[in-house]
Amino acid sequence: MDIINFFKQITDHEPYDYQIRAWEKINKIMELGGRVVIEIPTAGGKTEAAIIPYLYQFISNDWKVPRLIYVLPTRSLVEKQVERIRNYIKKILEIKGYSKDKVEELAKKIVQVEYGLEETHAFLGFVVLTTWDTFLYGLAAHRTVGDRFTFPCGAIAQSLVVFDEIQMYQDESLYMPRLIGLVVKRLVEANVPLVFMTATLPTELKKILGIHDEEPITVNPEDTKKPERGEVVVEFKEKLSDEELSNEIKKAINEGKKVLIIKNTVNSAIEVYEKVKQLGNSLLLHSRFTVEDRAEKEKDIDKAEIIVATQVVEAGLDLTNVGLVITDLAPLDALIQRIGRCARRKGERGKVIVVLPNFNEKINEDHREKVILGFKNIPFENAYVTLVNNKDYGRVIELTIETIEEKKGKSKIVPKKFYIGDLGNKTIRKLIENNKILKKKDLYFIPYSTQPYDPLIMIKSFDEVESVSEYLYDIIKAREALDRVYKEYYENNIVPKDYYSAYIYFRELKLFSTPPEYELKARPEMFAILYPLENAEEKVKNKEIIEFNPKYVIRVSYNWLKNKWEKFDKKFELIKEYDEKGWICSLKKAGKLQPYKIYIIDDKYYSKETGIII
Amino acid sequence: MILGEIMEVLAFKNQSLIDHVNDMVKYWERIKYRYLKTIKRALEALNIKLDIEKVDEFMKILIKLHDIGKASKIYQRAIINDQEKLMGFRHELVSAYYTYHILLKKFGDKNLAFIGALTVMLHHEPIIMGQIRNLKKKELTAEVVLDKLKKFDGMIEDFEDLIKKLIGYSIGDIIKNDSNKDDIIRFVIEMSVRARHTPNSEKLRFIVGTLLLPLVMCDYKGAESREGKAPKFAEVLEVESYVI
Repeated sequence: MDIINFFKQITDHEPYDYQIRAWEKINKIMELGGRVVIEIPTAGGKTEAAIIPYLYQFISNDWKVPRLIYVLPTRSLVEKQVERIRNYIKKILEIKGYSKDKVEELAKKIVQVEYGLEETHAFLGFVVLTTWDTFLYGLAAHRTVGDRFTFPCGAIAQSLVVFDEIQMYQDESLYMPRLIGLVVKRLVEANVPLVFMTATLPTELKKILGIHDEEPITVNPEDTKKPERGEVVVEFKEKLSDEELSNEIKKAINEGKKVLIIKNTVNSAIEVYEKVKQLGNSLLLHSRFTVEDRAEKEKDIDKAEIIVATQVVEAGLDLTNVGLVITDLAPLDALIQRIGRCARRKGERGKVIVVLPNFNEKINEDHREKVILGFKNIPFENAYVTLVNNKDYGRVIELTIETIEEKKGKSKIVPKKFYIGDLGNKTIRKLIENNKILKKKDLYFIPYSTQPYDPLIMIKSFDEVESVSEYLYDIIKAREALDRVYKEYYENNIVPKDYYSAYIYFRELKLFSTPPEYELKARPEMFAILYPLENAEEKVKNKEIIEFNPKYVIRVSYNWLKNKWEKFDKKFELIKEYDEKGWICSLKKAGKLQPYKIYIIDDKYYSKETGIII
Repeated sequence: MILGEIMEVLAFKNQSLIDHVNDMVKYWERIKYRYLKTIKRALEALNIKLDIEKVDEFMKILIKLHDIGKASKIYQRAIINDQEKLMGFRHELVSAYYTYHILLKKFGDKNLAFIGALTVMLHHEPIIMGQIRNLKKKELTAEVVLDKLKKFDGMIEDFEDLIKKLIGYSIGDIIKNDSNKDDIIRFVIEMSVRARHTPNSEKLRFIVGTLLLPLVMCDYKGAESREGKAPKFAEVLEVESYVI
């Protein structure tokens, strides 16, 4: 059986032309080492383009690599992908003649998940799915079993490593992409075969990741077999009234279609969910649920008619029949992903409404001359644009424009500065409330809060909204647009200190050396863990032993928790002690808030339906 | 190739070195289909070009020699007599010395011999790294090497026959027969320094790791027939060992 027939047999589909091109290239790098970049719009069959050459080895018995390591940015994406790959393995085992029971048993063993929670980080097995942080820690000799510093590194070096959804590895200081770039360089030097999969990426980001000189595999205009998706119409509205929102949802549900609403913040997602939940079978999904509840919701997502979510659903969610997507304006790459959730199958039709996040109509009306939504309609040339922490206005966009001034018959170039803040900025909000903003000649504002995103990226993404449906189909146009949106972001970005220390750390990793003392951060954002518990206070008083269940934890950002910390009236810390029976967990009153710790909160602050309530 | 019994040089209290190696070679024959090409690719990153048959031969030499340091007088005394203490003696350091010279003779490639010897030297990485920490050091320094080999007092009398049986060479054709303690100490220190300070030392973690994994798998499998509880890491290795 050749690879094409193999593919047909395990997927019941004909391969796309680009997938065949990908397989040829991946086959080569599996033998010789190297990189393959696959750049395909959403719902285009990227996973199969990447993994089929590895899976085909089960049939051909010509093993070029013993293992596939599939790296994803989040655990929930890992959970989804595990099932998909396990199903392919089952079909392979059936082809090889294994009995039904054996197929089930072996498929579980062949596909392993590595989160680094158990003390292994060994990356052993045939197919290993993991998150980026776990992968990095293994590679960087952190938290390995015993002192096996070289073992996980060897397991990685032997494998075909697939990095999926790499557009999600961005952060404000580009720490993560730089770290990936560093790791990629090391892996390439060691001849490790690497596959990078993404929707469109800005050119500069590709440079940081170290994949810019690879010609990406994508759909060519002359391809006859190519992924085709449904038709999507994108509309932009500053705001959707409650009535309009309800009418749009009812219409879609009456047509038998699903509705997906994506908000930029957890609070606004909860707010919308409360408004729409009575219109149909609804489900709310965001990051502030316990591991167990979130997994349950992800399982139930197919049954829901209305899904309200935050950016947790941006990638990897393959729902059929989504006929209506209502999304907050978001950075262009996220927006393309969100729109990509709509009408994913050929023949489906869908509508996307992009709205401004919590747009404030009154403020907009009262200060119209000060409002800025995008740069497109502001006439300025040769401006230097950057994001600054201004001493008067806080975190704002700064525009420096060169003006020519005449003085005593002589003309002189004088730089003038203008600032643009957003409603997420406290100073700006205060100036508006006190009616003082109109007097500030150099200050303008965006009439909504851009959080959690960079206001500059939001303004520049707004400029692209009217063409966004084209970007869904045309990867070149999408890349050009992303380069426009992220131009200043990359030009102004300064390499963070953390990256240099990580660079030195990697350089110091040697055989026969213990790893240097260094807290390598795979995620730039500090986090803490919350654990809702019934009668927590009583349990502390009675010095009760707690049965700690990792499924009940909620990982939250440290900054978020710092802001909310005082609002939790009683909070405790988890203490783990070892005695002859094993680990014993108990509680004590929480001391000063610190990142990476586990804090117990009373269960009145948690609801299975809406998550943390504070 | 299954080796015949020649003597009772012990790898463990109740398993001879020959039995241990035989079991490992048998296991390697079962699993090698998955690793040969990946090892070939890894070695090419260091400009070492071997065909598949040579990769197989190379790995078999690592398997046969990884525990050859156990054919030392001190190790054999300690394994038979509980009163005799190893005092931190690490057999893999001695194994690496012989592996290097035999690989050099077989393949004529210093880089390949270097990589092979490093892999053998690291096949008990958790133990050697733990001992480095116990000595309050961060690296395999000259002081650590001296400590690890302080009890070494030469190889057993039948060593020459054992090597001939394992590799087919007479050890005298390869290195001077009376390699003394100083030669081995000097060699191990040089290996450690080179591993940490050559320009491509960052790459070595990947290449040596690639070879280490199947060697360690074979080592665990090859030790299964000895008495006693299986080490915990054997459970971790299980997912790697299915034959589909």
